[in-house]
Amino acid sequence: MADLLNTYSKEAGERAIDQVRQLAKHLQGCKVVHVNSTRVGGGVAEILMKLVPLMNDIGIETSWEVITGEGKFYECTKGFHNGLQGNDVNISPDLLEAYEATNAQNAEELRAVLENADYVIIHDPQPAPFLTLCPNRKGKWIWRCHIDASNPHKPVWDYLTRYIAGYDASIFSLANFAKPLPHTQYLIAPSIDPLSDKNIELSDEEINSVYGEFNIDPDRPLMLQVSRYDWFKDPVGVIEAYKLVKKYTPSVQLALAGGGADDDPEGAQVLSEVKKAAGTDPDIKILLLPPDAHKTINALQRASNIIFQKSIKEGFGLTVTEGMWKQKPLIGGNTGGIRLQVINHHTGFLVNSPEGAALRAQYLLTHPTERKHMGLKAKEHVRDNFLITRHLKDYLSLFISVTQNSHDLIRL
Amino acid sequence: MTNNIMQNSLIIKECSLLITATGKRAKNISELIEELISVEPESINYHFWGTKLSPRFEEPEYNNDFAAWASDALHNDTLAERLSMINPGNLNLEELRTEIINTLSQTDSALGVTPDQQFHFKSSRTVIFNTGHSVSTVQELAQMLPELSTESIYYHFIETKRHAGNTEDDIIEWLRGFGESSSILANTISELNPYFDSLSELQSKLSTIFSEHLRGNS
Repeated sequence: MADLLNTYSKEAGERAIDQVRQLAKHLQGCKVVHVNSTRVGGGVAEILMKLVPLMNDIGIETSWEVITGEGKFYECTKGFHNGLQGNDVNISPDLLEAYEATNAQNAEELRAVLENADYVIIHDPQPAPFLTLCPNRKGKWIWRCHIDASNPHKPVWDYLTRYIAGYDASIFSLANFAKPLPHTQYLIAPSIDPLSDKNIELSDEEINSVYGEFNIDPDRPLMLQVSRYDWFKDPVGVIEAYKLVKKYTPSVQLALAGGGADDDPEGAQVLSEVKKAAGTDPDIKILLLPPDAHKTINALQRASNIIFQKSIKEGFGLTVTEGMWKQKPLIGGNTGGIRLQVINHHTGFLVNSPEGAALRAQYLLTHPTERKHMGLKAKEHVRDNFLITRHLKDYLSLFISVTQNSHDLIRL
Repeated sequence: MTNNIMQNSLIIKECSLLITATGKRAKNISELIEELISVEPESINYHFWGTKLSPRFEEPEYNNDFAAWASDALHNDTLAERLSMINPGNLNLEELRTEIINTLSQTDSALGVTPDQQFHFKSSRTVIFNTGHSVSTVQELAQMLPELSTESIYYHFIETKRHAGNTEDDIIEWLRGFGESSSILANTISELNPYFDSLSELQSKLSTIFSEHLRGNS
């Protein structure tokens, strides 16, 4: 038992592995179902990619289902995503109709496995109505929100609340994302998998391969942001910061590495604006990577001197966690979950503007000793707090907690 | 006697902290006081002790969340320092609540913060579970101490004391069962104040104390 779990002992430590083993003893044979909207692209899919096998590995029968739909469904849910993050969106009745019909159809197909599960975790708004569509459910249902919902567009929140309120519990990444709901709201940070292609150690040859592949000069400094082409990631702001740094460090290069997720229809528009902002500067590399380019992203992050995540809104920011795991100090937007990870002057810098990003980048480029020292601290901060073994422990603890009536102390 | 001590053996336990949102928030000192008056006691405990187990940087500047907020959001380092020096070690949660409110009440309450800098009251649920290990002698505990997780240190040295009404943690209680020599060890440990140390630092100090005690007795 727990062969897969054991493979994490070097990165996470034996104690962390032991904790998971001990908790898992109390959940043997339980059935768990995770439901989200895509198997590829985005942080949720990356987490589930390993969380599900790990849960199975420790004796919890876990499956991963994906809600599928057509154009109008995804247009609607992108509207929900933007609305939850505060945009003033207007979602037409025909889109809502497509959303509800898609949920009804998918729930029908998945009903047997959902109603039979001991724990169902519904991720984000896409499959939220499943709860009301499974009246004969036997287990505990938990709604997991990965989005920064701290200041949502009210009509969107009011609409979704009708589906979310009935859950047994919900999970948010940060306290200020949590909303008034008639059930316990747990605060659990996401995590990275240190053994995935995205995060595993690479050879020098693998790291160096990106220089030739993307026409990057290995002898000049490289700054990088890895994100979907999305307004909230502010890729144009990153280009502005780069241009400011270029005035003081003319040799600097910038790579923006992103791709689409199956459920994000706005990406093409954002990419077009990014290309316009970059103009003809040969030192700006705009990379459109396929959703499974994990090793390439890994290599790019390791090849970079500085990593940005200059988001203006961010749920958690797993690209920050990834970058820190590669011992790079992060220059992050002063928002959301980035604040939990980037500790000023210790693991990176929080910034509020392209000028702020440029200021900190220039400092890090000209202080290599401090850059290295901060990178080491950044990695240990991730090891202590944001690895998938911690996340697994939190899920196991939550399963136990939702089935107990005790308010503050649960003795097993 | 706690249920961790059975026939002179100490059962080593772990704990897992689940953090929850209370929905209460404050954007200035007046609101902070108002919410503090009614917030559940477990929330106060979390913001003083529970943060030792939460994702945070190992070397925080201030020891509790109220002090950190006073500095980071209100930019009032004087208030942060005062809040940081409230020692929760010998206070029950209601006494701690009163102490925090009294300290805040002495400060100008006009300054406010932006919505994304509000203080969010959190709470927690603790799941306590066995490690599968127990110890029967002081030597065994001394050997095991460096190998324990920080969660285990938190449970035995902080959580059990709180549930015993801030008298003694279960390690001290167990040590007193071994007679005078171990009572001296117990007294030394009881003088530690875990509030100002990180869990790693506390673990290191405990290991040193146990090692020195055993060397002195050999």
